[in-house]
Amino acid sequence: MKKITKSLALGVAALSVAASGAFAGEWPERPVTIIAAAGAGGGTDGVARILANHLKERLGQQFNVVNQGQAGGVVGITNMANAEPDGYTIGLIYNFAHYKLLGQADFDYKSFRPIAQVNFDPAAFQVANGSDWQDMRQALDAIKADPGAYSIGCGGGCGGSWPIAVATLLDQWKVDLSKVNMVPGKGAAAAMQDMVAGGFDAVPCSLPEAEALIDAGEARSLAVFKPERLAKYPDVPTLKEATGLDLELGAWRGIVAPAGLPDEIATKLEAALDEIAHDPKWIEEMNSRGFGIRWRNSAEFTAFVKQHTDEVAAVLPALGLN
Amino acid sequence: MDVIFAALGLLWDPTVIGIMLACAVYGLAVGSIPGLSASMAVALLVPMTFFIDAVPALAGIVTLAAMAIFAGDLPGAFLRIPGTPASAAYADEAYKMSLQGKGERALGIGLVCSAIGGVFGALVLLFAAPSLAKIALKFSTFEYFWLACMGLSAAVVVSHGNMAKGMLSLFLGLFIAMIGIDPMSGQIRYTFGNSALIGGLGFIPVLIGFFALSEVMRFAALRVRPTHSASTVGNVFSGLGQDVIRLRYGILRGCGLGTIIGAIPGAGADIASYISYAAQKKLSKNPEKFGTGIVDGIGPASAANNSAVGGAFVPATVFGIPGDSLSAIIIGVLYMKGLNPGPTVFLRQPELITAVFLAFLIANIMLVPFGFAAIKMFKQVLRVPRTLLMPSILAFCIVGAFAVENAVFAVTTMLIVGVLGYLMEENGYPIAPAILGLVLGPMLEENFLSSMMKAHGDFAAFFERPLAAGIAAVTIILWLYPVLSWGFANLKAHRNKALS
Amino acid sequence: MKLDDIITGGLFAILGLVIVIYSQSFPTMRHIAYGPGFFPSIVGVAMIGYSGVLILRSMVLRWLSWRKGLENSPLVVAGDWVRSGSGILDMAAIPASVIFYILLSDSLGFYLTCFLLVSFLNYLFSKQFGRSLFTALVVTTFLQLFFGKLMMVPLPWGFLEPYSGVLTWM
Repeated sequence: MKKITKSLALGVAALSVAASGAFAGEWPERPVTIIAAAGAGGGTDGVARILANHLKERLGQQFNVVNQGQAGGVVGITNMANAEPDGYTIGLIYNFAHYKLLGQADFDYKSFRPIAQVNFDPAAFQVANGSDWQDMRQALDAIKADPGAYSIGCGGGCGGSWPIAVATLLDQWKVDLSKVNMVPGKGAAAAMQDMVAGGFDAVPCSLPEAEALIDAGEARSLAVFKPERLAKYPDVPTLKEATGLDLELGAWRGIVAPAGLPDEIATKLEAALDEIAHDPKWIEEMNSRGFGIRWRNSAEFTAFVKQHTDEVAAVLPALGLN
Repeated sequence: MDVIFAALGLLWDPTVIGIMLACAVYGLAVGSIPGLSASMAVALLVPMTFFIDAVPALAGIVTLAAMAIFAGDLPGAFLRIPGTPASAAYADEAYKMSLQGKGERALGIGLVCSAIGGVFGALVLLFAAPSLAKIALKFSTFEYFWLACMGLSAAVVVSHGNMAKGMLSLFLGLFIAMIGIDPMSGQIRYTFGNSALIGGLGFIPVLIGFFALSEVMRFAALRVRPTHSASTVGNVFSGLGQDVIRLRYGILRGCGLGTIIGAIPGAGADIASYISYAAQKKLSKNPEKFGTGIVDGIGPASAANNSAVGGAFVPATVFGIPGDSLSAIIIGVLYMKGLNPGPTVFLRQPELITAVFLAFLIANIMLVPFGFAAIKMFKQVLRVPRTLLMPSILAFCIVGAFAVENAVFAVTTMLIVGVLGYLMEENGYPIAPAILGLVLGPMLEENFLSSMMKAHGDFAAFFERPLAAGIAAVTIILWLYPVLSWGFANLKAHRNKALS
Repeated sequence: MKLDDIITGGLFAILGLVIVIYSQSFPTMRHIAYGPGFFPSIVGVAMIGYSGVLILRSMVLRWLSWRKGLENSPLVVAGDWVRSGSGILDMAAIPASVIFYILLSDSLGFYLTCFLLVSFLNYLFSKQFGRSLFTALVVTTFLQLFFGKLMMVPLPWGFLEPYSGVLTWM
């Protein structure tokens, strides 16, 4: 009996060595899952699907996008962190640091192996058309003078990309964040509508999301949080032009794998993403759908997610959200 | 008018027609299979829309939605399992009719009213979307709070009978919606430390549990099982004209209610049909007959769920604000196709967006012959013995729950809620109020807290805005109506007595 | 299974109590006195209230009929299915088979788990061996091909992963 067990164990060990060797050498040899921690049809889903197509072309395997948007993305991102680090489950992650700080999840930047960042969309600061605020400086000064008097719509939860962007800006302007009235809600589009109906004084979100009501003449954008203006919205001044602050704030997306991913796979995936990110076809596809391009390689992206975590950790407590 | 002809030109294309036909068949199949919902079917189509142009992609999706919402009536009438949540409001009514041998009348009125409702919604979209959207721009969280309150009052009407049990069911629905991360505060609620519960109980898995799994269990509990469906289906169109003419105001009300409710963020076709059912019952001369199998319970509600799909497209296309889960996906596809929702899409590419609306109109007209064929086909399915049908339905339920959430936990949710739903029905607790609570609860809570935060905790703010005060007044009158009318009747009787 | 209103009401009252107690642990929102515990506490209290109505009504009715010397119905009336072994088996089979799927679908894969589940239930209800297997095969294959393959629902393959290509003929 003992003998059998021993030889069985040996056999299993031999098999698993062979298997891991085979996997590492030939990755990907079966379809790869890309977790998108968002529902079908949204922006994260869209980027994931465009990316999946390009990865399939380059690596010769099916890349399947799986939508897991429950609990505002916590479920999907948790699954990215907890998946087997064998290269067959990767994820498209976005601003994630607040989940752990708010006590909603266990993952932090150490749970992942960042492969590359592929996208960045700057936040922009919107007010209703009838608002007294004509420029960003005026808005910031008014909020600084009486922080509790104005309501700012967060779009989703107040730890998300857009509210954190505006909170970071207010913090830089030396506004007392603990008094600012940031109100959570059900998405940027709904918050914009509520602002036009008189519910909010300002709403931060991306320009494509604000476009509908700006075009309708119901809202105005005071500044875009990026060093240079966006080609599609040339009339919206940058934060630097409007206030002198040189900040880049907003939402970003990148590919991560669970921590512990073998180096060979990480390198191969990063190389593929590098090619994709500089492919004119990818740039054209992303731009035509309103997504901004930003490439950070593995090393830069790794440093960036840590910096992102530190920045969010600095602002959240002041918002009274931890 | 030129725009409409240009739009028709876009639709008159073999690819577009082919895709619309394929989606019509897919929609009818998905709608009529218990466990598979319209929103799941549309979500699964999203990857495919990447490879086709905007007009065929969106025309296909709206066709699918129109067909699926009607087809949900089919298993409702014959198996008492609504094929999609939108048919849940009157599945029992239609089933009782088919038990009385009047299945064809139930389906006939459902089919025609679905088409009428859908056409109504499509016409509103085509001619009034931008101006309707202007009205929607006046609504803040204060107004939405009152609308949710108004919607909840329908729970009492759809309870049929024991009021206390109906209210308990409503509060159970409100509670189920609270499980998981609260989107307002970020607080994790009622997970009891179980990390699987953090995402909450998915809406579609809960509905599959309540309506389909509980029915499969009821079948298993039967000691003498019907091998085949008892009812045969006669001529679908006989006597239909009279029913439609008699119910004309109710159907029209259903169309209006459906369009408005569909346009309100958070509520969709499912709630629209419940509220339309409740309104019809409340205004009926013989409300006690509702729930026993009458066409009055089916027509208006059936018109409401199809028109709600059109209503949901109003804020979706004009502002990119989703009215329900279905339109949320459609907004995503609009962005993906570079047709960013907004007033400009009506100015810059009017023929594109008009083509999509026209496709929805055509789909709803096509519904009559296609739906008729689907009824014929479904009769064939019913020839499969129930003993072999029910286990297959269970398999579809598992896939349907899994596919919307991409998690096995969705199947667990379905199981727990299914057992709960079975026990509730066994003991006289109606399910309908729980569904209203499930949908309207988050709407009520989120709008309340958001409004309170804006108003720095001052409750008076709910009456300060003129529009909010108006809706509040209507809501409160609606709530006090039973008391007032009782008091008024008493007063009148008193005076009559004094006079005589 | 029919339970008296005293029992179902009692269960709802307990749930209401748990909801209220749990809600006390939630913080309030910034700047206002309301928070994520506000609505749950209303829901919990209302649940306790309405279950109180149910329990009281049932007790009064029972007391009245007892006064009249009439016999009260028992608190628990089991369904017909409890009276035979096969009835209990049929009834337990539904939740049991779903639990079977939840536990084993990841390792055995969707195809096998679903096939076993449907054929077992088919046979249990119809007692026709051949037809049970055939229907289960058709339904499972359809689900795997249509949803798993065409619609790209990530149905698990489990240990059949290496053969997934062969099994779907692609």
